[in-house]
Amino acid sequence: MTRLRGQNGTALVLAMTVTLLLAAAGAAAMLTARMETLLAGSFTYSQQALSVAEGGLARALQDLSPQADWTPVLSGAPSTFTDGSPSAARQLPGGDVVVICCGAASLTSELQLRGHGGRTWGSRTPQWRLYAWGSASNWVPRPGVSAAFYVVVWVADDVEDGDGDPGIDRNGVILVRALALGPGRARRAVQATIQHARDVDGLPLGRGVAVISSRETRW
Amino acid sequence: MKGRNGYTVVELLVAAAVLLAATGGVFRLLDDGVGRSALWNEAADLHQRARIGVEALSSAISPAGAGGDATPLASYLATVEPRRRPSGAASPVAITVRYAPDNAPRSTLTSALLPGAAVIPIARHDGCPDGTTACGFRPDMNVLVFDRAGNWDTVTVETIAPDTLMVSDRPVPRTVSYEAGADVIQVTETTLYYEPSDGTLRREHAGASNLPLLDNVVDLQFAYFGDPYPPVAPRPPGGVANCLYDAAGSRVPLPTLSADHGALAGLPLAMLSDGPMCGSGATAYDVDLLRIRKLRVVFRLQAGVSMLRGSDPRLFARPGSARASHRMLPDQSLRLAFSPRNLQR
Repeated sequence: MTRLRGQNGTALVLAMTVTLLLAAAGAAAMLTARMETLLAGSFTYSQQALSVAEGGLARALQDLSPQADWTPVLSGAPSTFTDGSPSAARQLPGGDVVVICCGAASLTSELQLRGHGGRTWGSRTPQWRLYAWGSASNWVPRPGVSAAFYVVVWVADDVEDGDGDPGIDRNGVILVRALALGPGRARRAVQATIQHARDVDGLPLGRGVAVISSRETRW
Repeated sequence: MKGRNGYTVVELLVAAAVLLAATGGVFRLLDDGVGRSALWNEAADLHQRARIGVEALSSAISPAGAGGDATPLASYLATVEPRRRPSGAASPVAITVRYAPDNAPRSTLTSALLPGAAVIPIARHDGCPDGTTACGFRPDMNVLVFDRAGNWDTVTVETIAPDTLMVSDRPVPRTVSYEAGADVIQVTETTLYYEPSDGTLRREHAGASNLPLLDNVVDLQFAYFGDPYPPVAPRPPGGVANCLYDAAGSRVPLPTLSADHGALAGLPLAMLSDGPMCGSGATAYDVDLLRIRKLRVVFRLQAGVSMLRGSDPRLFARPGSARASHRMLPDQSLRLAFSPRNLQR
């Protein structure tokens, strides 16, 4: 059996101890830097998602603006901003796979389930209809941002138009909700209540959109 | 000892010097690493506080003026005020924002509401969800009562009964009478302000809560920009005068400002509190608040550890004890601009 004699190996122990201490300090620094990078990235994606959702809403309003009657869109007529069948599963730039419409696991069903905060108006309950969907690269000019985000826009009738039918718009007021999905599971949504633009006497102009109210909504 | 003659003094001195140099080098590395580790941790904390600050300001200011499906609040009252409620003076370090939250219940009065009355009769209409007792209003909700002339008050729902709200005035007693048909809607009223005594950004719900959001804040400034042309809303019903229209429906003359910020005009704080006033009673507000279209916020954060703050006043609002530049973490100043969609008219 070999026994350590004298100072043999002392330098090795000392070197390893110092190396371990320095490695621990370096690992801690790397962990902090990594966490900071992840947090900053997540925050950036989240802020960008909100801006993209706002942009998606504006893009949808552009298509709704010339229409004098919004009943067709409440029946499912889509905008010019679409990218194929909404029922096919899509892989988002961030890696998530989503189904836009329809079925129990689709985004549309999720919206219908949660979009009114659990409230119901019976047969008058607004039915969210898919209106626009596609990559933000279709209309956002910055490739670095736009390629990473996907936007879905829905429309629904308001409950106060008095016709009792969520598929018919009687009062020229509808709801529009835009959802932006991005990397890192970033999801932000905005909703607006819009009406046909009116003149100074309050009469509809026949074209144009006025936003009655707009806010970010939970998703 | 055999076979060895021991070490000479020179050998010992050389060995000691080598050991000292090696140990000194190692400790210097360790000390530097530990020092930088503290700096990194504090920098990460500073950045996280900055992100929280941005999110808090954004979530409070962006929805300003949002209303229900048929009631754009910003058309009927000031939804942004540069002060704390209820009695704070106009201040560059405070802002109060009002908006109806997501899925806010709303209704109208079915009969007049007098000051001091604790029972609010509300109308059942198409927008009331099925199965609700009082159109979706629930106890503890904060509710805004307002009319088309620009008067408004906030109350808190204590209990509900069929198509009736039992309320208490909050944060101040009502002094205005409202006619039947006046609007009733759930409201979120949030105040953000800088408290210099403890260096915190605080979030306050008047009469309910006041909590710190961020610490080690060394400055917060709000600036306002608005429409150079006089506001046109709220327009009162015929025969009623307010701050913008006389009883005959003619516009009250108000100045057109010079657009010195693109298409907008800077609105100095004094202009936002010098009158003429809209509304009445404890909730009266300056007419120029109706011009607001854009806000600019500047806030500055510092490192929480004074050992990481130096003495240069350009970099540190509150000097610390750091001497080496690589051990300093300068204050971070952020400048944000908000153009709340609901304030664009």
